Amino acid sequence: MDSWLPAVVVFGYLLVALGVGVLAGRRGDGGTGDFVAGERSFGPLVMYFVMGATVFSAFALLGTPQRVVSRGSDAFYVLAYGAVGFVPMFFFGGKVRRIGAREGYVTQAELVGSRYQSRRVTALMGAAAVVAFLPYLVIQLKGAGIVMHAAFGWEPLYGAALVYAVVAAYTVIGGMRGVGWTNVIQGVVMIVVVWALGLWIPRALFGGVSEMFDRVIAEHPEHLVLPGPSSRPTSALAYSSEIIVSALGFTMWPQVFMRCFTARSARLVQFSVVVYPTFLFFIVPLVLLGYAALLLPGAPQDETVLIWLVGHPALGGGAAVMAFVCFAVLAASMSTGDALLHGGGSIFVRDVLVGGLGLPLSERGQTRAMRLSILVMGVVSLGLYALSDGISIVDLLLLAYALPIQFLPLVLLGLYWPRANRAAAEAGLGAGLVVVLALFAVHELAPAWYAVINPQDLEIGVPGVLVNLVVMITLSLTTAPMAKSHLRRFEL
Amino acid sequence: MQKRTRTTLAIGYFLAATLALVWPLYPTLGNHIAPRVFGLPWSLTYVLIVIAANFAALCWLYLTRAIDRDGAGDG
Repeated sequence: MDSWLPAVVVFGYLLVALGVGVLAGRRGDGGTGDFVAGERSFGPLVMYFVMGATVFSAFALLGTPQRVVSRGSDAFYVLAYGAVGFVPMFFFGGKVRRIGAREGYVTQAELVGSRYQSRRVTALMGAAAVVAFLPYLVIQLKGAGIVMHAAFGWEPLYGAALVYAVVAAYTVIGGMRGVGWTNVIQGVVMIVVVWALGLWIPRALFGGVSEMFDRVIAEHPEHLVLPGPSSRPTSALAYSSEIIVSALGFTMWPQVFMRCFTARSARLVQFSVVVYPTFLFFIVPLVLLGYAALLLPGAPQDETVLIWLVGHPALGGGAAVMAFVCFAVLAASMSTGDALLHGGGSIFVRDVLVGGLGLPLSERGQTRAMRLSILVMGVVSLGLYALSDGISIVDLLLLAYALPIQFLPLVLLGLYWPRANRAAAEAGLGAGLVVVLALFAVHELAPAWYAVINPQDLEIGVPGVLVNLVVMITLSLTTAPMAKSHLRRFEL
Repeated sequence: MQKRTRTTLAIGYFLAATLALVWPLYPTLGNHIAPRVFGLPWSLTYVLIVIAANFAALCWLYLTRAIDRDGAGDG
């Protein structure tokens, strides 16, 4: 692009994000409760955008149109799991907020570990969360790299490094408040740009959304229903498994769960769940853009398809449209990346070092260690991105999605079943993680065996969570329950 | 209505909504091109209808304080 506009939009946005993040962080007291949970002060506006922008990443923006082009209506699974994925938080979110405020918890593993009076559970959950965050972070870096390459022709790694230097700066300085207020800007940008493009492009190219689908029905009807195109079919069972696993794991992602601790009140957590579908609908224009690309000859099948579409000569949008798309993709990448960096740093210190290993760190010391951990996570994920030609990020994501879902039995049984106890939680979580890691190792080291063990290619988190659940229930019923006085602290 | 009944009914509704989106209900009820609604294929419209229905259900549960009534207001 030979225009000054992309530079003004992209660098202007990075400067604004940096300024807002840093300024927002100056309002708090600087303690751990402030750095991790923003002193539980977020109101409805920030909670709305924190929830929405954290969930929808560069993967959603770049990956949804790509999925439509390559796999057809399989792309609707994002809408489908989003329809039900947040609902569990409506039931347990208020309770988590209350217990967190009363007991001073700021992370998921802290609450769960305390419920079971187990340092092992806290440390295991913390370590699993950090491992799960890394490949997800690499995906965000990749999104930023694609945008910087499209906008300025830079090497993607260097572009991603610059963008994430800004993210790391406002996350380290601003903490949760910095993440929250930048998410407001990023969420607005994502919604406005994506809806504008999703309605404009079908109209500009085909005369409207309805006319566009007339052509899809005539030329690519297989892209509108399962199993989709014969080149990459999706069985109804595989589609269903994707939805169920994603929906079950959705609220167990620590960076999502931890938002319960940032809300001003328990009722506000419920309110955030109620209004979340209004954010979810922003997947619809991305689906429309995917179908628009499908109808144009030569559409790429990879994650560059959105950038390719908006730069198509038939649109005549030029540098201005490209600049705003880059703006939206960067916003999506950064709004998830900052939550992962912030969550990862906080969890590593609070759950692994302090809660798990018992390192005697003061409040200020913990905050300093979190800041350092955020920088280290940023560097490690950048290193993984640099090596991503040699390692498969898709394979790592297989592990990333399977880990948080192992927290589900511990969280739900811990919040609602008085019989669930320490021995059951430690054994259940341990068994679930061992199953997931073993399946992952077989997948990597002996793919032929893996195909025999898992012929339907179901998500590896599913067998893990089933084993986890059976172990937890069996041991809870056969070993002594925890003291009633302890359980009352958790509203049981 | 008792607290436990309200919660059970709400969980039952959301389980049904989840089942509506997966095998075997989605392939049977939703996985078709026609009828088209506002030009969109039925396969997409069907998912959007479930989202809208869940949104309405959540609004009702929230406004009536049907879930976590005893504690959701305190902090």
